[in-house]
Amino acid sequence: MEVIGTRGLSKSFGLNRALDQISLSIGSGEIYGFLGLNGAGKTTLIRSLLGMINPDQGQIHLFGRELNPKFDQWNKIGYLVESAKAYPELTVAENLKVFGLLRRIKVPALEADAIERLKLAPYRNTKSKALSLGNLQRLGLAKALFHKPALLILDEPTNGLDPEGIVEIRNLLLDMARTGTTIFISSHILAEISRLADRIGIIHKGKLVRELHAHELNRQRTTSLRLRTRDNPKAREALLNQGFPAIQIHPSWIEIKDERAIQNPSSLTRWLSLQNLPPEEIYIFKEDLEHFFLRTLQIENQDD
Amino acid sequence: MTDFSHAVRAEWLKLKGSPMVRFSFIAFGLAPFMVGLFIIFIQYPELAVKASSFSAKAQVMNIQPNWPSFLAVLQQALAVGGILVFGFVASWIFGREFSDGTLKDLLALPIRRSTLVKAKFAIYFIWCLGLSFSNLVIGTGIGILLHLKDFSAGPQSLTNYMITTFMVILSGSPVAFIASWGKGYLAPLAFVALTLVLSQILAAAGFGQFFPWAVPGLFSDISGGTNLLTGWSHVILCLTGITGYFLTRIYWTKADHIS
Repeated sequence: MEVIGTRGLSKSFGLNRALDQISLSIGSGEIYGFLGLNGAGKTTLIRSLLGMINPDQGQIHLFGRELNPKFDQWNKIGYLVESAKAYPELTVAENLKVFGLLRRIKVPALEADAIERLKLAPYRNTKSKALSLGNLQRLGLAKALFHKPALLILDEPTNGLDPEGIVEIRNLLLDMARTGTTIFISSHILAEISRLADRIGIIHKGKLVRELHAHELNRQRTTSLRLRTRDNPKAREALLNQGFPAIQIHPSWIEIKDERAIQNPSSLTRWLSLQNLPPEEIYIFKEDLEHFFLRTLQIENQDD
Repeated sequence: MTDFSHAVRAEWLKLKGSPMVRFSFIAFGLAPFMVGLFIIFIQYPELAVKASSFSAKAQVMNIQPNWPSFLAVLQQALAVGGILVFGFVASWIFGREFSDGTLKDLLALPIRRSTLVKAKFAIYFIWCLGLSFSNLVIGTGIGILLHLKDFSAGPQSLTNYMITTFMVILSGSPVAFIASWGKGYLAPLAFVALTLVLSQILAAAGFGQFFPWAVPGLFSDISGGTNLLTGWSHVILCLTGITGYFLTRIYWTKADHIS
């Protein structure tokens, strides 16, 4: 079942095209990671999905229903947009109670459960103005998920959390996805997205420039062999003569993007040694998500 | 329970522990004490020697040590001070969601945004009514302590006091829109200050009856015995109140909320 569907979604603010023909389809139980530079349109898309911004063009469907003023599925949705905020004079429990009232949920146990799950129990009666940034973020997450939504829309959910908190939240989200919750998550922490998401979308200048499954990511990320010798220009020439597409990526480093070399670095090492050019250092370079992301944006910029 | 009552309960909970509630009652509650002080200076002229400017002001205002005069001055204090304090209340109820960054948490909920706006206006109404009532209670207590005489006109004075209260509450509704449109406290507070200044200028120029924020003052006879109000004054005031409500509602339900 399609939980989030957008068709040709566009939005401009003056001359700035914040969203340009965004079409997405996200299914039940999926974790969809959304990447983009600052100002790429991530938050505009998230706010549009939540009905906070009216698109100029296109449609949004949530749970198969068109998002319009009569949309009535809001209790199936939990969200955290940008940094978490709370009523400063109210305690953690009271802040949750406000949203319990506004969501018309009469089960105090749900609020208590969210407090426990997000490890806010010691701060239950602390005013939110006295919370640390990390605990405020936990409160924001508690507000987003206390009513056990079927869809969670999270914008930078790990902001302000310490490493232990990041792992806890990651596990919590993975648990929720396993029980069928669909999660739409944007983050600038690319490694976090790569650990969580089933599918990744990259937005740039308002356009969805790339969409791929997590398992595809491994294939898409480039792998190469990098080596360094005493005489790099001579080694490069020898490698080229041997049919290896060697390029000098740095005065100290030669890179070879060739499966024969990548699969069998020891043979190459032996061969270079026979040429009196033994590698001083040699390793397999696997592009990380950050490199992949920046490379994708570079390609897009060149296309523009 | 309806969505509206849930929203009102949520708004009521938000008031809890807020220093603004205490400050508003303390600030507004100063008015009856000031009026009482004027009466004391009239009753005991020998004290006025030490506070001549206070005494002079009391003379100019033609304050008499009796209930009709006391309640009339209390009503005038409500008409002018209320524009300021009720304006602060409206700017806080609506502007805080923008200043505290909590608005975004209210925009994608099962309760309609128009219901949230209605609930906020209900809290504004209750709060302002509470301020007005508390001043009346404090004023009555002070009047009893000062042994004021002639309570025969009391019921009429109380009716006028309540009408003034509703007039001031109506005039504060555009502040809610300015707080929403201006996304915080600054714009509505500037707006309130501007309405007070313009009320003075326009009333002095003889156009106060057409300026909604001057109407409660003119109704409370602040100009001294000349009733300048016409039917149009009341219509303009009502339209101002209704316009403020609908503009706020339209802003919350239709505008792009990008921050």
